[in-house]
This record gives sequence, C-alpha cells and structure tokens, in this order.
Amino acid sequence: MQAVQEKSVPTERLDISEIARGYYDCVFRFCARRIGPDAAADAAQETFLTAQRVLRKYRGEAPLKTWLLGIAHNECRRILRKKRTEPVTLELIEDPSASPESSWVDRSALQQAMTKLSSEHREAVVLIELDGLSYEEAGHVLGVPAGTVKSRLHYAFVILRRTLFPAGVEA
Amino acid sequence: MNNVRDNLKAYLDGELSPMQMREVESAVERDGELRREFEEMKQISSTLRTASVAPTVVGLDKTLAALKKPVRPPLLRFAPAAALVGTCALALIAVGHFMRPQPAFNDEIPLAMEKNPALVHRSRASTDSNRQAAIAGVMAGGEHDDTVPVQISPKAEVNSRSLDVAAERKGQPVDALNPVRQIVKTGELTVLVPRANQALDSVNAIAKKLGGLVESSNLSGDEMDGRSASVSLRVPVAKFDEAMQDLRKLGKVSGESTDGRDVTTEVVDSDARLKVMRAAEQSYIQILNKARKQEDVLSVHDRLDTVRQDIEGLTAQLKSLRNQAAMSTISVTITQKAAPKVAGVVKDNWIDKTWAGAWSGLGFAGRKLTEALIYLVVFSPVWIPIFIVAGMLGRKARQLA
Repeated sequence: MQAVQEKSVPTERLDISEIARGYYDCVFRFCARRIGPDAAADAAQETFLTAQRVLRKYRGEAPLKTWLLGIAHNECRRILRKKRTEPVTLELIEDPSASPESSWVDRSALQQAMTKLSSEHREAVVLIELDGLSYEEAGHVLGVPAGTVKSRLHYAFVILRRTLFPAGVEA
Repeated sequence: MNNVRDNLKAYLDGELSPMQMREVESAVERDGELRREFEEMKQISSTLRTASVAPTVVGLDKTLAALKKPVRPPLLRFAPAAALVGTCALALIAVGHFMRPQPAFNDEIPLAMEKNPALVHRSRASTDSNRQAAIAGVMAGGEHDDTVPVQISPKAEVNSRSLDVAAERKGQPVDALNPVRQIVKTGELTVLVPRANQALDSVNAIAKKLGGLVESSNLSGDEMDGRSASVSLRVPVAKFDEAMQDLRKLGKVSGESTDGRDVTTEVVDSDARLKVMRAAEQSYIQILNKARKQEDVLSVHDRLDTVRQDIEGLTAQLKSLRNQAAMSTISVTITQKAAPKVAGVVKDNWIDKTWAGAWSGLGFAGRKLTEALIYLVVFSPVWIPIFIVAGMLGRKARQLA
C-alpha cells in the first residue's frame, strides 16, 4: 500500500528534505548493518545527496524506500571497495523479551554462521530478515528478480541450518 | 517434495501464492521432517529478527544541512576539473607545438650553408658510375678545374651535407669548392590600377630603368567592361627586389608571389659534363687523325657526332640556365576596374565577401579544431591521467564539503 501511495506522488513534488526526514533512520540502519555505525552517517548522507542529484530521474518505478536503499546499497559497496574491507559482522544480543523459539538458537553460532555465508547469500538474509523487505523489494535493491532473492535465501538458510542443526539437514 | 522444500522459506515469509501456500502447509502438516525443517528455519529467522542490534541513528541534522546547500548542475560540477584539464591540454599543445622535433637536415643544413655555401658542392659521391668514371678520367688527365664540381645525387648530397656539417662542427677543415651561386628568381604580381594603358607604359619604363626588358605583353578589354593586361619582364637578378618594389607602386596589389630556385648544382653539373665531353671530343679527334682503316674512321666519326650533339645540347642548356639565373622573370597582371554603368551607383558585393569570409572562417576553424583533436589524441597518455586525478580530487573535495 505504501508503495502505491509513493508511486502516485508526482516526482516534482518530492522534497529531498522531507524524504530524508522520513527515510533517514531506515537508510542509516541499512548502512550501519553493512559498513558499521561509524561510517553509516557518512554513507547515509551521501545516499541522500546522490538522491538529491538524481531525484528528477526518479519515475516511481520502485517504491521510494527501495529506491533509496538501492542507492545506499551502491554507496556501501563503493565504501567497502574503497576501504578494501569485508562487510561488518552481524551483531546479535541476548534479548530477554525474545520469543521462546528464538532462544533455542545459539546466537554466537548463528553470528559465526552468518560470516561464513557468501556475500550474496548474506545480503539476501540481511535484506529480508533484518531490513524487513519483501522479496520484490529486495530484488529492486539488489537489481535482481524476486525469484533470485528467493533462491539465494533458500540456500542461505540451508547453510545456516546445516551449521546450527547439523543432525537434521538434507543437502 | 523437493519443490515444497525449496518453497519452505518463502512459505515462512508469506511470499507464495495462496495455492502454493496451501500446498506447502498441507505438506508440512503431513511430513514430520518438513515440519522439523520449517521449525528450524522459523527459529533462525526469529533469532535474526529479534536479536540483531539496532544501531543508534545519528547524523540526520548534518544530512539535512548538507541537503540545503545548493546543488550545482552536473556540468558546473565538472567545470573545475574540465577547466584544469583544458588548460593542461592547451599548455601541452603549445609546448608540443614549440618543442616538436624538427628534421635534423632542415635544421642544420641552412645554417651550415650560411656559414659555408660551398659545402653542398663537394665532390663526394655519384650514382652515375659512368660519369663518375669519366670525371675521374678527366681529373686524372690533369684537366680538372678546381672550380668545376660534379653533380651529386640527392641521397649522396644529403650524406655529404651531413658529413660536412659534422666535420665542420668538429673543427676539421672542409675541402670545399667555391662556385658562384646561381639562383633563378621569379615573381608574380597582380595589381589593380585605374588605367591599364598607363600602367603598361610604367612597366616598360621600369624594365628599361633597371636594365631589363619586356619579354611579352598583351592588353585586352575596353574602358566599359574593364581592361586587363599581362606583362612578362626580365630584369637583372640584382635588381629583382627593386623591380618588385617599383611594380607594387603601380596600383593596389591584390596578389604577389616570389620564388627562388637554386640551380647552382645543375649549372656546375652541366659544366662538368661539358668539360668531360669536350675532352672526349678531343680524344676522338686525335684517334680519328690516327685512324687508317675506313671502318675505324666511320666508327670514330659516329662517336664524335654523338659527343658533339651532346655538347651542343648541354651548351644550350647551360646558356639557358645562366640566362635564367642572370635575369629574373616577373609576370605582372594588370587589371583595370570596369567603369560603373550607372552613375552614382556603386555595386557593393558585401554579401559575397561576407559569404566567402564565413566559409573561409569555417574552414580555418575546422582545420584548427582538427589540429587540436589530433594533439589531444596524441597527448592522451598525458591528459587522461590528469583528468582522472582531477576527477578523484574533485570527488574528494565534494566529500569533504
């Protein structure tokens, strides 16, 4: 529904400051999960500056959030490439309020298992599980079809299950 | 079953169609193994969603402030880099233009010739082995004249010049002959005059004054349609410049060209060949006087005839060359404007002039642009890295800003 509403907004009326106020948190967290919180502010700022420059080209083909995350994704990749570093390790904490089923998984083992995923598989997992995007939105961000996201996610979970529940996984 | 297993995660995320959802749901209910897998996935997914650390969001104000800065249009953003690159390219073009290597021969030889004109006439090599042999024979026969150089083939001449220049630079003495330089000077002049008749008389007067002559002249046209005359005059080569100056005073000069051709080599070469042939002629005469058999007499006579014909031809050629070198030829084209047909109305062909000027300008601009393009392409290994560095610096500066 949100996407439909966004698509109906004429691009001439989009104000970058308003967009930044509305989506900064989302973009910041997206960047922080990939390049760390220290560099996330710069990456988020660069994302919105880039968006400001190319806003007139935005035709509403994808939801605004997805469009911004796509820019942020490229910005994070550029920064990682420039710094020649790997994406930051996912940080998981013990949450007392967490659901009982989640407490069955060893968090440090999951954290370790996530680092062993390929960048494509890890990106799919982060986009869906942590950023909360749909398959289609994740596909927009990555520039791949939704089916590819589904496939990457499936194989990522097979690997995670193999690591976390070695007894029950079938190849 | 594998299809259901592949869809298990999508089922968990609610990304399947209703039909697929029902299919997977029933499969999970029926199959304990699938159910276990589903539960494991659910646990992993739930852990990831709940246990991940949400970073504290900072920097919104800074971003909003950055967004309020005016955005420069894309072209302006690259303007400093483009200006830098353009300046560098122009500087390189200028440097390249003034520092481009010149052919060593053109550079050195005029200088050497200026110092010692005899350098180019040294006897050093010839491609014509027969003539070389003949010349050698004459020289061996004691008839060699120091003032007589021999012809040098262009290639050999270049080598000779290079060697001479090198020798001279090393301070070694140069064995030079010293012929008088023979220059055939010609000039062409187009003048617009008020009266063609008067101008023609003036040309005659100039020729006489300078010790020359009018070789040919013709006058055509009438007063109404305009007259034109062409005159060819010969003046002593020493008076050539003076003649050109006097002729320029006839009227408005609309075209002028002068040309000088150094025929020294041709003259000395012809001279040398002439001497060789005369020596041969004398030899044949001596042989003819001693010949007793009719067969020998005829044979020698034939050869004598051939040599004499050659001597005649060469003498005429030499005379012509010396004549050309002694007297310069100047071709003067005299044009008289047609009388205006309607009194007071002067036809102004400004449109034609502007048109021609514009075309000429376009051609000039095109040529210069092409030259600049060629320089840019040739110097691309220099300016492309500069452009890349400028781009990187610009990006860095923008990021810091």
